[in-house]
Amino acid sequence: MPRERLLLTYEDLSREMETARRIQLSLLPQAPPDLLGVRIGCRSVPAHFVGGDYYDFFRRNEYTIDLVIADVSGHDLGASLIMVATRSMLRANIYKSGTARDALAVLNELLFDDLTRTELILTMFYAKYSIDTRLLTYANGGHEPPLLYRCGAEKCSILDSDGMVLGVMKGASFEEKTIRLEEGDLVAFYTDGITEAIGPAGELFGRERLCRSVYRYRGEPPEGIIDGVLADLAEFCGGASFADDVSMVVMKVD
Amino acid sequence: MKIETGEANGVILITLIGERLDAHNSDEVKGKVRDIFESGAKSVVVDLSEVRFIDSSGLGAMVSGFKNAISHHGRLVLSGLQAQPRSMFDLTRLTRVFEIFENAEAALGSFAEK
Repeated sequence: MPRERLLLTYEDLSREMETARRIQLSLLPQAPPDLLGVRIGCRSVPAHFVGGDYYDFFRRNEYTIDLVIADVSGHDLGASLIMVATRSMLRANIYKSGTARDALAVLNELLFDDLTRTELILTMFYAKYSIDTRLLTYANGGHEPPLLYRCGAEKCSILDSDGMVLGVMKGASFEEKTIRLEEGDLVAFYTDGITEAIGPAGELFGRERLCRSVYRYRGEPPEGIIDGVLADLAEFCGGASFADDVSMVVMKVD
Repeated sequence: MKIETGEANGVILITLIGERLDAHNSDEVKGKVRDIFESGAKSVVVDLSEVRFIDSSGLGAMVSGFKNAISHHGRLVLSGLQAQPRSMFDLTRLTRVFEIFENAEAALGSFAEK
């Protein structure tokens, strides 16, 4: 093949990947929802052109919002295609499944065959927050448990509930839990690109380090907390480019 | 990642030699396990005792192997999980679907009992 043709092919491919990157980023919320009583910040940094991380917000009514964060195994083009399919199915069914646990159960059934054929798995954390009651109801499909910081506490705790990663078992059911948040509390949702980032000595960033980082920036608004955590992560990794997709959503109760 | 395969009493033992099972080598492992089931094997042990770190892609490779076993009416079990891989299986609740043994000998022995 002539060299010019090879160069052209590479350029074509780069252009297509850049288009894919732009489209995938455009499928994430462009801005966090604007609500009274809770502030939300969000960020996603793909490791390459495209990735398998996903987060979304669905406003049910004046007082209720659903927050979802998910991670398709892998961080390549294949993972990004499944991420887009996940988003479409979730959005198409969002108003049919009322509870967090139902949302995960329905999605597990809908995506099962696709995940089997593509040999991928999907972790997802689904939360529903009511601004008027300050109740947060959540279910977890094998995702990294979000961190809860209670205003005035000395450290963070985790929000976990029982549920298997999606795409493994048909008919899987998911535990649902509810907690009441108070003024100043914050919840940090994230993907494993943060906890599994590797430092120069080969050690993982880990959940403990993330807890300390969230605690350190707890006084900042949600976007400031994300900035702080990502700065700590970049310092730990020795650079701002990460090996895996990195995503974070922070909600803070006013 | 080096993938060694052996056979004892009709059970295939796949040993993964490498510190990390992640996005860089999970496709290779998936393919190897798939080939083994497609060649007619029914009983497979994947030994992870050399693996110090597994990510979601690595877990995906194990799930793919598990599904391959089911579709070929076979059985795939795991052995030798170190701390980080064990915590990943716990977090994702995959401990509910996989049979996990302390070491390869125990895993191989479990086939003789069945």
